[in-house]
Parts: sequence; structure tokens; C-alpha cells
Amino acid sequence: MNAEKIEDAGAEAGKGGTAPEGRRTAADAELVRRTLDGDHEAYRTLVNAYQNKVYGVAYGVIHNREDALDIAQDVFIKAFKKLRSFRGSSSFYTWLYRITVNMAIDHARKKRQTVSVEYDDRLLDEAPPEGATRGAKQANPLEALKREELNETIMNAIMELPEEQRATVILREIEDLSYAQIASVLGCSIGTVMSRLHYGRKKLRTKLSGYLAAGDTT
Amino acid sequence: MRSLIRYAAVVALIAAGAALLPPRPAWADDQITFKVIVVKATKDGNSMDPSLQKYAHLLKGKGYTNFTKLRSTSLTLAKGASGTAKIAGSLKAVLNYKSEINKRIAFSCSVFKGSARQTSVNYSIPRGGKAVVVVTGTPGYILIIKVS
Amino acid sequence: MMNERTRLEIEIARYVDGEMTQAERAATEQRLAADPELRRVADELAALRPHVAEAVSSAAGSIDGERIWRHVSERIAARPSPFETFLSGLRVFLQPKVAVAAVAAVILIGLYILSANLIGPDQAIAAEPMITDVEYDNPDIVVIVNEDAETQTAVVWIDGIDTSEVN
Repeated sequence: MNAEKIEDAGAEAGKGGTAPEGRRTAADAELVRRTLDGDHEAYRTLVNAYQNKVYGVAYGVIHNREDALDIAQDVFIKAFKKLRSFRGSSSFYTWLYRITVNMAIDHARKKRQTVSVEYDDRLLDEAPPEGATRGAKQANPLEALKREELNETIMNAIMELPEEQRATVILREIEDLSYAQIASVLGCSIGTVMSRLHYGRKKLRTKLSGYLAAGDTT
Repeated sequence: MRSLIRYAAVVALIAAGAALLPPRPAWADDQITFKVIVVKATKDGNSMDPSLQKYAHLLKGKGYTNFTKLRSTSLTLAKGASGTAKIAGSLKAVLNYKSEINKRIAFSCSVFKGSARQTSVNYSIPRGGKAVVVVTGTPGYILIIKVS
Repeated sequence: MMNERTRLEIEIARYVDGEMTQAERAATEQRLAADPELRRVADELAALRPHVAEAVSSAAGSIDGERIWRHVSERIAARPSPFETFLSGLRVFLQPKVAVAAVAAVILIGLYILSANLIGPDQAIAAEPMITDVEYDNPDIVVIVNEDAETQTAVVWIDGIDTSEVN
């Protein structure tokens, strides 16, 4: 296998240059242009479009809701300040992910946290989080408990990965980025992306072998 | 006028304070010296260059039994600079000194075959530490990089 | 053996991630049909993704969409020009208390560096990894790393470069 063949394969597999992605890139470019012309509402549209993704990536790397929210805010402030230097050679969201991952990894390194478990749902919303099982009605409480235990095990395993592997796994498994896109976000080669994914997933598979072998799904 | 005098006084005091500062300690130099020893390793024969005896424990493994010192190169690099250590033929190692943080030297060692980079390893090694790079094959090549 | 196994698992990951050409997919599917162990790896990789997605989204929860924009819009609306920022930075030093504090800080820092120099830079070095990252440009090679904190030695083995022709 070689890098060129892999990038061709990525395109053929429909991971790059697809019609919806092309339209999104063009729409983002227009919003960036309007923001640079002084239209803050255009920037609000960009923030609304990407805030969940930015928050999600930040959370995946640092596993702390308040800090992830702070990082998300800082990402958009930094992106606004640097908008003039965004040359459009990559897509806007790739550029945004790059800022997010760098900030999140810096934050994680400073804190050097390995495992952080949060139980207080009241930090953000009054409403319960999407997908949360705690406190919600469940047809099968035992299933809910097993799911909660599995989720906690997975989060702990993710947090034990080195920051670069963690970010690579998050960008692939949560954000569904292609290898080429991840390489662009992280500023590394596709070979490095494959290597980090391999070692990161290997550690996760080892930690979750019991669950995966049992075919535990919801 | 009073603000201007006050401002000038502050600048003068800061300048005096700066003049009292001791010279930068040696361990915060902007230059680092990397000593690179290149060893050729084969699986035929059983000998070791006498000058490599003290590194014997680093050279074992992968079935190599014969060790010949090819050369020793000293690279003194300023922050951000790169230096090349030839390995053999078209193989070479390029070291890039990045920074020093908490007395750990951050640098990279990239292995090139001709002009094609094969891999790059980023290090954070304490002064006095060593990085050993083993390019396995027939023959194998071992780089011992001492950070001082 | 290790090299071949790692290489195979990376290929399987490419298959699961949809990073292969159609021809490569067809060849890999044949291989998976003939190798139950590889099939198990592929199944585990495929099963991992929904679990990870569920765990992260469940833990992350949802966010108040307006909160981020409120904070961002306040900051971007209130941004001063670069020259105003520079001037306001200078004005701070005209206040007597700040000026005294700045001089005291300079003197204290000087004393600290002086004392550190006298004692010597013999402080404990943080126990951090010595190999911080490996970048691959040649996808055919495998790099194995090992570290010995006691002797402060980091060893890297690079497998897969053909050295026979470099002599």
C-alpha cells in the first residue's frame, strides 16, 4: 500500500469530493466571506452549524463538560480572530477541527488527566442530556445499568490513550472523517493516522474484549 | 508632565533590575550538541569494535553478532536547526533540535533513504540521555544519539 | 511475525473504514471468508464504533446552543484595535502601584534565577515519555519503541527498510 493509492481509494470510497460536501464547503466559504465583510450574523450561522461538532471533539479528548464548553467558545473566538489567515486550501470545518484538536490536546496535556468521571448533569442544561439513561424511564433497568457500565468503561479506556491517539480515534469514530481528512486536521501523514488508529483501537478492543465478544449492542 | 516623569522612572527601574539579573544559566543554551555514533551490524561473525564495548548493552538484539563502528558525528544545532548524519549509502538521519523544556531536549530524528523520508521520531530526552535508532535489515545500522 | 500481523490488522481497519478501492475490498472479503481470526478482528473493529459513539455522546450530553454564541459574540464585538490594545497595555505601568509591583516582580525573578544558579540545575526531571510521536511516511515500515527511564535511553526499531542496496 502507498499513500497515493490510499488517497485515490479514499476518493473512490466516496470519502472526498462528494456533492453534499462540496455544497457545504461552498456555503461555508460564502459565510466566511460575509463575516470578513463585517457580517456577524454570518459568523453566528457558522457557530450554530459547528458548535456541537466542536464541543463533541473537545469533549472526546478531555472528558470534562465545562472545560469542553470553554474550549468550544475559545475555538470560535480564535477562529474569528484568525479568519483572515484562513486561505481556503482546506475546508472550513477541517480548519476548525484543527484548532479544536490543538486546543483540546494542549488542555489535556496541561491537566495530564487520565480518567475523569462526571456525575453532575446539572452543569449545563436543566433538561437531561440526549441519550442519557440516568433518571430516564427505562423499559429494562438492567439493560440501562449494563449500558451505563459499558459507557463508563469505554470512556475510561479512551482517556487512557495518549492524546494524539485519542484525538485520532475521536475524529474517526465520532466525526466519521476519512484518513485523508484526519491527516489534514492533525497535520500528519496518512500512515501516521493509520498507525495511531491501529494502536488506539487495539487498546480499546483489549479493554472491551468481554463486551465485544458477547456481541453486546443496544 | 508628572505622568511622563513617573513613566520614565519605571522604565529606569526596570532597566536597572534587568542589569542586576545574572547571566543565563548554561542549561538554557540555544544550542545543543548531539553526538551520533553509526554502527554497522551483521549476523555473520562475532566481534565488536573496542570503542563500542560500553554500548554493548544497547546493541544486542535482533540476532546481530558483529558490530563495526562506521563513524562518529558531532552535530551542534541551534534551536530550530537541522543537521545530517550519514548512515550508509543513501541512508541518512536528519536531526532537528526543537526546544528545551524542563531540561528535556525536544528533537526529531528522521530517517531518509535518498530523498524519501521513511519515518520521523519525536523525542523529549533529558540531557545526558540517549536515543538509539536501529534500522533492521541485512546489514543493520544502529545510531546511538547522545544528547549533551 | 509481529510486522505481518500489524500490517494485516491495519489492512482490515482500512476495509472496515471504507478506505479501500473496490478491487481491494473484493480481495479482502475473500481473505476474511478464509480466515476466521481476521474475521473476528474485522467484527470487533466494526462493533467498536457504535459503542464509542454512544459512550461519548451519552457522556458529553447536549449543550445550550445560545450560550456559546452569547459568549463568542460578546468577545468579538468588544475586540479593540491592535493599537488600542498596545496603548492600554502601556498605560497600566503608569499607575504607581502597578509600577512598584512590576519592579518588585523583576527583582524577585532575578533573585530566583540567581538562587537556582547557585543551587544548580539538579532538579527532578518530570517522568514524561521520551518518545513523544512517530510519523510514518513509508507505510510498509513498522516502528517498535522501548524506553528505559532508569538509563534515560529510548530505543526505536525500524523494520522494513531495505538496507541491502545501500552499501
